[in-house]
Amino acid sequence: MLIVGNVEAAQLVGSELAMRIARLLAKRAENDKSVQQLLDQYTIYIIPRPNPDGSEKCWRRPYQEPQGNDRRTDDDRDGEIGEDGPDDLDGNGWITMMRIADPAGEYMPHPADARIMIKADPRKNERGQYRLMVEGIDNDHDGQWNEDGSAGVSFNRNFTFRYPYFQAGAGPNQVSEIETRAVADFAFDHPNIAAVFTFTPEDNLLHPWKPDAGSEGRPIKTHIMSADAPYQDYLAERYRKILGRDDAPDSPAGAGSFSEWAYFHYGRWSLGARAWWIPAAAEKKTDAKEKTADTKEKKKGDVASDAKKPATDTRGADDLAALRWLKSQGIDGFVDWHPIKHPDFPNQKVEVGGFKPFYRLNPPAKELDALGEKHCDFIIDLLGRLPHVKLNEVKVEPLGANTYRITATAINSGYLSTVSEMGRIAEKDYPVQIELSAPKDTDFLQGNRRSMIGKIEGEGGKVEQVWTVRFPKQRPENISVRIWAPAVGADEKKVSLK
Amino acid sequence: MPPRLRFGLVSLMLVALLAPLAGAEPPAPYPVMGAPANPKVPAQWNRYHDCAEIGDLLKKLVKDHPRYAKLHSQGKSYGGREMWIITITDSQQGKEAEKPAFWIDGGIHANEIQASEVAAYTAWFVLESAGRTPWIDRLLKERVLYIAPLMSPDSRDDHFYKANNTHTPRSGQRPLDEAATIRGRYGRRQRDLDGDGNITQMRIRDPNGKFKSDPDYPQLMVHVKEGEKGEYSLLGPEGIDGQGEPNHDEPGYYDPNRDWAWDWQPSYVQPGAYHYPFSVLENRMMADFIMSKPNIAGAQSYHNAGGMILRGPGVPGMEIEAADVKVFDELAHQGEKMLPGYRYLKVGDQLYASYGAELDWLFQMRGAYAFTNELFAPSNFFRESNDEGFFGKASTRAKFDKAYLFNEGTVAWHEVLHPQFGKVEVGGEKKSWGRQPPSFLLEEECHRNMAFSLYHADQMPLVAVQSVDVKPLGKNLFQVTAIVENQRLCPTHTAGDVRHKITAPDIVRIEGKDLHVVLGLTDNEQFFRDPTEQKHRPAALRLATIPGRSVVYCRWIVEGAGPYTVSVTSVKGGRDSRVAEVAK
Repeated sequence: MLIVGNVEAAQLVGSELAMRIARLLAKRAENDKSVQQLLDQYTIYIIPRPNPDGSEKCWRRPYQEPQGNDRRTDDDRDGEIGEDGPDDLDGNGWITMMRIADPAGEYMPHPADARIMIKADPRKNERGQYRLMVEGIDNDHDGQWNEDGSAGVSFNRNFTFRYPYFQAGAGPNQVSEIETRAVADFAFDHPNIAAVFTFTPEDNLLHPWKPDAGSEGRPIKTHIMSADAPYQDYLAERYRKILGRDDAPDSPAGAGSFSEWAYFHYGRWSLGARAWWIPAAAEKKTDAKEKTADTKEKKKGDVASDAKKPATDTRGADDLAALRWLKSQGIDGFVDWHPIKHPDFPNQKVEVGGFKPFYRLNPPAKELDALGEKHCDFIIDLLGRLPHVKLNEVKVEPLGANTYRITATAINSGYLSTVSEMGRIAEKDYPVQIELSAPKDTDFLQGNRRSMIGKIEGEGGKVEQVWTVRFPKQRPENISVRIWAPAVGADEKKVSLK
Repeated sequence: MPPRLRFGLVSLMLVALLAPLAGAEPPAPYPVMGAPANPKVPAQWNRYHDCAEIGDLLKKLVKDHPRYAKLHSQGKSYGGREMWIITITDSQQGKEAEKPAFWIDGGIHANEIQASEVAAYTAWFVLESAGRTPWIDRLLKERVLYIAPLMSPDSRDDHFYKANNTHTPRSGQRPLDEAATIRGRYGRRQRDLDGDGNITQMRIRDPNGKFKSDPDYPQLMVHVKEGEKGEYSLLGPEGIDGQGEPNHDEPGYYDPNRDWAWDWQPSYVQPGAYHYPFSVLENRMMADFIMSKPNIAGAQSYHNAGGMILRGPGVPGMEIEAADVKVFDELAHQGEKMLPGYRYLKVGDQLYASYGAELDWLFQMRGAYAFTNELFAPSNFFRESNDEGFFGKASTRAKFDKAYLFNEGTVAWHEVLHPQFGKVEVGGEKKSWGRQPPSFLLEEECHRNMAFSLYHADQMPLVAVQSVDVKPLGKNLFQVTAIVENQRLCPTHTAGDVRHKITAPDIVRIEGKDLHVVLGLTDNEQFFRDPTEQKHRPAALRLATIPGRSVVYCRWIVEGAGPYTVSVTSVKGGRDSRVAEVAK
């Protein structure tokens, strides 16, 4: 199994947990026989910080959430590199936001908390009062703000699946970067990898990917295969149960992301989770309940439901929850709006403020150990569900004249099939092979000395291989059958010829 | 003139007069048209060259034409061969990086051996013509040629020196693990059963077979009619069945021309794709080079066969911007005239689906108009039919073999002992026959294709400041109007380049002593009725593109009496400048 830490440079929680998983597995194996046994049986590769240069920027002032690696990029593709990045206008060491009082602006303060900016809705007769943008000046005077900070190439936007051509952070082409190439090459060089676990916002453990029967027959696969979805869904259920949380914010659609590449192009079981998020406030849960109630009522055609409509306005809800959470934790994670003098808007009121970077992406350090334990639990749970092929029986029938029929039966005792349906299509895994070891001069009347076996289903999936062989000279005492594949292990059985 | 010198001159004249009689210097050869008859670097173009020979030729060319050529290797192939790139331009006129460049490569599919010959011939011809043919001199003054004749050198030498047929090897020589080549591993393996260097065909006598020898061309196997008894069954190419036998399988297969970054898809969609774009070592080196040369504005990749001038996209149902189609069309229609029997096709819709092909990457991601020529048209055999697929009908080839090659193209059927099937017969077309032109057609293939590529190279964008006009507006204020021109067919940026901002914009700049630019305008007509103003840094006007065979009008209102230097700088279109003064 391959565990990859934060594929997004700023989500440091992923690398912290990856390191904790390593430590905990080693520690638990000392006392827990079952864990020891799993480590005997499986190899776990951990790449805790796949974009180290990008993550290192988290410690660089002024603080802002980094995206890419250290490649010098021309983010707005104008032929000049890094000519207009964000600027720390108030000198507080943090890049936050700025709002510019402007009757043509799209934004207005939230009615419940004026610190939060939301988009004005003309259907509600609301008017925008502010323009909202990242803190900075138009360094190159081209009428765009902060459009080229030379943010580098994002690890999680540089893989081949749904690659975002020509977009900022995508790099010159797929797998163009030292980091992405190193990880992809490592993966291809390790055919024993059966599953990949990634700390990523494109999660499928909190928001399982949905199959799409309509597109499944097309040559290029874009959705999880129907045959794989139930397994993913069950593992996602296990994850949420172990984590004890179920209120994760929406998962963005990936573009060139690592975890989707691992499933669609690398052809392995791929599971991803963001590990941590600011809890949705209790009020939001009420909202959700009300929503359900609303729908029910609407179905009945009840007019009264319309009156409740403002309650379902979710604009800024996550921001409000974040403010409440920061307050409850006693974290100074929000810069109150304060006026500054802005050279680009000499005659307008400009204020700088908003959420500080990082706090909404990463948990307080005191939570990391508990999260590490839970993720280690899940990894152990997952290891126990990987495919595992065993030779169940090797039957020998003498047919006379030094000729024998040999029938081998193999069973996959793991929960997962030996390869996902997508993996079977992608053909990037090593096939399960079965071989009959017999003297060199053995005559194979039926069956090949070595054969490839297709996918073996999980939970007791069975395959049978038949050989008919003749020994022209002397029959050997024993023959042996071996079944193996790097990602499912190996098993061998020796039987004597009577 | 001093007496001694005069004497020297007289004696020189005497020598000149006497020389023909004395036989000291042979007379100049008859000036044949086409390739020079007395090149500095002798070469023979009716035969094929292996990697070492092509490398030697390039080295000699560079040595004898130092003003025009330099040679470097981008690295070593998997098998340790040099990845040569020869740079050809007139180094005494303009800088390499400032001239529009044309990329030529050959032999990415190594079995398609004439591809490398055309590329090498181009280097040789152009260099041997430099200094004698004014058209070539102008080309080398204005342009740079980058030529990489050996894109897959390990496999070229494998084709030359190991048992193969005309179709192999298409892959590189890096042995693949089973995962990437499950089908190959359990499939057949070529084996040269008779040891003649050719992987031909196998047949076995079979009273129930469906084949017999053609009565006129006995090497040719033909299907018997319905109800008729045959004499043979065909067992496929010379080889053994690797099924289940460890280490008896093919070393693996990848297609180097499905390894490029535009519309790349993995092998389950696009057979032959390797791990990710540029995971084929040799391609990565070449792509790195091309990416380091944004001045490459046109490209040609040579392949075989079928007689085709191909453009992208390789994906069916896709199309590029109409403005770019127009450019491709005009170039290729000229190509069809220059390459009789060649057809101009769009890969994805008119040939086959092809994801991750080089020509698409060159065009879509590097902004260079790129063609792939499939060298050698079946119509070449008897100069008649043009609809015999890629390689011509087997019967047409058999007729040609008999008429022109005196049956040298085929191995006559003969018996060998097959390790699995017992007595079989082996015979059929040799590896050097089928997709490759024979000697007397090879040189023609080289020259005609080169001529088309040079035409294309000449049609790359070329910018110039056509005129600068100054009009005093009173006090210290002046209006300076420049007409900037692209003299050739191709725009400075393809439509896709403009959309995706691949190449930096063209810049038209005004400079002068104590100059202050008040206003900067551009328009596409001379009266500036609907101009575009550039408020930010108006002295350097940025143009998204300069269309082919067009002009753009630039105007500045400036403080300062000049003189003014107006320059145009285009990454793919070159540069030019002109000085203007206020008329007195």
